[in-house]
Amino acid sequence: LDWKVQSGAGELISQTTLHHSQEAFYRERLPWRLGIVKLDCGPVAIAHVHGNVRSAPQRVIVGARLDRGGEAVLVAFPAGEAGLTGGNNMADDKQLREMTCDPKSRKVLITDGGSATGRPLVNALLAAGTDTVWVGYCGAWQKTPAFAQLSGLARVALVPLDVTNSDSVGELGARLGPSIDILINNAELHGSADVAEPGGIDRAHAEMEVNYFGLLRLAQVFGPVMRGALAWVNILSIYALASLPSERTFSASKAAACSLAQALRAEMQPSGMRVLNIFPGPIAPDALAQAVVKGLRDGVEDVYPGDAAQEWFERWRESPKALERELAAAATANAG
Amino acid sequence: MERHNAFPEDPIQYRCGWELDRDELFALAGIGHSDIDFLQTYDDYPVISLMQIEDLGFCGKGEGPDFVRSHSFTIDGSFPVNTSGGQLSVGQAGAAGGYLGLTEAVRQLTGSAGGTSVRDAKVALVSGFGMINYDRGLCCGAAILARD
Repeated sequence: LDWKVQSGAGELISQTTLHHSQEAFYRERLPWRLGIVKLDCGPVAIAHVHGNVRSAPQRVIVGARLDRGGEAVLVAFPAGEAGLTGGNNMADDKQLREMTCDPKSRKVLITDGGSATGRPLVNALLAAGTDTVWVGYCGAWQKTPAFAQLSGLARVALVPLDVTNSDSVGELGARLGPSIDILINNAELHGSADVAEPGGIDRAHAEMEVNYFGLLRLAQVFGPVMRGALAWVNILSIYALASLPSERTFSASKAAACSLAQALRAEMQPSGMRVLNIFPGPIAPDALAQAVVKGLRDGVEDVYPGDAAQEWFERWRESPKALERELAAAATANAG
Repeated sequence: MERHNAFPEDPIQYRCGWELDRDELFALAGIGHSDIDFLQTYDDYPVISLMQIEDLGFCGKGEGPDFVRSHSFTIDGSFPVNTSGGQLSVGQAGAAGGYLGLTEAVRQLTGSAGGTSVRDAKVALVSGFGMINYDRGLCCGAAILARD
């Protein structure tokens, strides 16, 4: 049998509402709806039931989500256009919010408002109904127009943060850490260093300071105080999976960050905080910001936003060697 | 009798295989339902006991609630069921729980049930259910035991 995507359409044939549970997680969140769905494609599935689904028998659409423990579960949504798209007040459902990381009404820290993704992320999060967006800034761009624009926005607060400085990270962590629901680490340095040129090693070093050690500092300070928070998002790169030789030091720094992010995820899993790793290829910052919000809403762990990243990810899944060869060939073609 | 995967086409379980085999079971024993002095069901939940009472033919399908209302299940009642109190009283002791009904039936039939004896009990029906696989129990069984 080949794996094929199914619509998830089916009929809720039975439902129950838990008013008691032996599990501490559910006990704190009762009542909780569960049901049995006869899927149109054949099998019968046990699913969590969204609050907007009316009493059985009822047409529903079943979708996959990750629960707070990181396990894949099925959720029955109301049939129709509002179902899986999260339209109307779908995202407000108490049970669904326990499984996803929807930023609506949440407090979010974006680590670097000055990077290319800074302003688009702020816009996307405000549009998603975020309660507060804290935006990190470092001295270097304090006098820029971007700073002035961001500081004038409602629900946005600028906070000093330099991920290359342990004191700076420590101070903000002590001040904000426990209040943060979602941390988005978008601090990024793209040196594209040719290490053979003068200063190449220094530029590669600077890249690692932001892209890898920046995450390491954040994880050390914010990780422990954010246990029980909702999500931690890392903007990585598709080149974390296989090197783009023309951007070898950037690729290496992202590969290092990816490895660290996996460790962070393992460390955070027991607390229920989800670590989302975003692996963009070439993509417009606005589209990337939308993909981050969608990833949070869907509650997934890994996002490959944009056509290029999707294609390379598929290639990598078929064979890591195939992607390595393809990116090597792309670099040669560019050089030629 | 023992039967696995009796009604795979049912989208939700409301019966198991006893109804396919009960006639043969009683025919082999050479007795009828009215000869049964007491019943031991597998009672992980009350509804599972009712499913057995219906599927074994003590009443029609869906008539379980009326059957409960018109009988008493105590040791001196009109239809003694799970005379030890069953798993609903003692808990579910893993796989050992499957032997609870059998052990109790033997106690009753050998006169060693002490103060909880069913008077003049000669014939027992012991029923089992389990192998819970995702959304249903796949296996059911039943045996009729009689005192010499």
